[in-house]
Amino acid sequence: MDLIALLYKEAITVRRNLAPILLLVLVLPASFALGTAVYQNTVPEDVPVAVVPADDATTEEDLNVVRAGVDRFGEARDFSSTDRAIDALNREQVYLVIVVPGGLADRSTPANFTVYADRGIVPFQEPSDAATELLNQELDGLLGIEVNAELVRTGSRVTLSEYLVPTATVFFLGLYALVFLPRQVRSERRVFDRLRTDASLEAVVASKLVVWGLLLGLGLGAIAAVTAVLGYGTAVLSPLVVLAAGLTFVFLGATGMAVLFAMGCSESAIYVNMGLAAVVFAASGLFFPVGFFSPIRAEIARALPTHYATVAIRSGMLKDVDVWLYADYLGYMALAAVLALGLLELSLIRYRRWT
Amino acid sequence: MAVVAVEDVHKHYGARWGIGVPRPRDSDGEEGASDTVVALDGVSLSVEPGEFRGLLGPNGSGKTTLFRLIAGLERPSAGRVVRPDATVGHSFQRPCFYEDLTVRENLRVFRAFDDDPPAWSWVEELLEGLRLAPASHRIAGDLSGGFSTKLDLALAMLGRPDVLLLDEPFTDVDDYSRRRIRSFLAAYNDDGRTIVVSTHNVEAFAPVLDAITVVLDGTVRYDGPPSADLTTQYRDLLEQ
Repeated sequence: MDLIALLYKEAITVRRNLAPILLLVLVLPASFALGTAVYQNTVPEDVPVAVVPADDATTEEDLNVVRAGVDRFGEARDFSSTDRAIDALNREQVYLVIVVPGGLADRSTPANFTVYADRGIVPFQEPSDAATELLNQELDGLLGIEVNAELVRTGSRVTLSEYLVPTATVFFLGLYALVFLPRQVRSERRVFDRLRTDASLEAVVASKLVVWGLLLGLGLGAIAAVTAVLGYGTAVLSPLVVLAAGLTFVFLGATGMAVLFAMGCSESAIYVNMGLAAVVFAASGLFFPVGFFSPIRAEIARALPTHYATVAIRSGMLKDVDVWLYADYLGYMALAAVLALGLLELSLIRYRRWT
Repeated sequence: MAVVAVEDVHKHYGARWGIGVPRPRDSDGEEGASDTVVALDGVSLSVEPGEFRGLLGPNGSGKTTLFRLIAGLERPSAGRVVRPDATVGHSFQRPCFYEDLTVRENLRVFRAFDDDPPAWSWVEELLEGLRLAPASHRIAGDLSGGFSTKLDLALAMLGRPDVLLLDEPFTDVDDYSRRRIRSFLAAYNDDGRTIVVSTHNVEAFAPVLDAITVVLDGTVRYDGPPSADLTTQYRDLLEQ
């Protein structure tokens, strides 16, 4: 009979907390399942590819032929120089760079193409081989001459384990800022009335961002220590990684707390933040670069600041790159941080009016 | 000039709708009854400097709502609350402190919020005067109800505020401590400071009150000096 009484009690609890429970058992698993729809292809079909003239001898007609050849497996994007295209490769704006030689109309000599791919994007290594082979076949057919496409991999060799370090770092950042931090703030909700009279909620959230942001440094240090012991060549504490991680913490943490206060510090807010974290993990290209996404989904991913955080952290850890190459990415993250802090202030105003 | 003035204040709460929240019913049990709760309905009062005023009323009469409006934690639906420019300390019906800090750590943290923090000797005086010293090294979340109330009271008085707003400051406090705290508050009031205490525990504060405001069903039933037999006066006011 004890069991029946307790089951009755649980039924009442479920009815009273229906909203958070529905979020937990319906919305959250559904959003995780929905996240899998972002990935559709094992070989990317709409991958952005840089098409670059080798020199002044390359004509617009030569470029047009290559653009048509790229259509089978990607989306051609024009660049004026190889250096710029390699920069775009490092920034994950494109995943292949095709340097087009001039004189393709001359059927008497073979056409020698150079194709660049980034070694750092491990999941794209085999697809880049396949894409180069496809390019060979396509251009053979289109030009009717012998085509040699040589694949050159840039950057240093990266193992799959090393490639996964930035993925794990962004995953940790998402959980830490979007789920753990709001949960920690919520645990102190009973003291908010006194803090509102003796200090301010703004000061409270500022102190949280400062302290837990500094503690994030320890988290990065732990990742650096473990990867060093494992002998990985990942620069976990490079300036680009630290900057990107710091900005990501601010915009995700502020967003998580904005959701928390907008929902009256309810338990449901924690589940909503978990759902947000699921979206971030699915849509930011944590494992597969956005070149694996369909064009629409890639555009959605490119609108998310977490995508730029992922690229910056991956590049900072795996490539020897200049921080300034990612200045616009960092600027976008800084803008996202300012907007999220503005949103947080609005939610604090709402919370004060509501309670 | 009054340190706190409440002018024709109304406070209404709309029901919060959500899944699992039953719709309100009228007296016949039919759904669709008004979902607005009237907590305060045209309340006015004025607290003078140096006064020890009791805000009296049974549970649910609107005392805590009025208290929160005076504290600035809520806004009136209509009317006006003029709060003092002077420093204000608050104690809450449900004690407000950091549960994972000790009593001393809480006092240290909240003392640091003050631009001009009082001497630590005042903190020691509070610990002794409120009989909080035996629990000073205990984690606040582990305190009994009485000690929780005392810590909340200590935090309210920490900055030696000119105006003290106390909401049910004797909840779960033993009789001996009540007498000690009452004397401590009376001495604090004798220094020219103002105290407004919201309580349904009339007897406990009867000896020290200069003025009373009796609130029932969101309206003021009486506002003026207490009689010699405050308990009888209060009972009569409620039964009118």
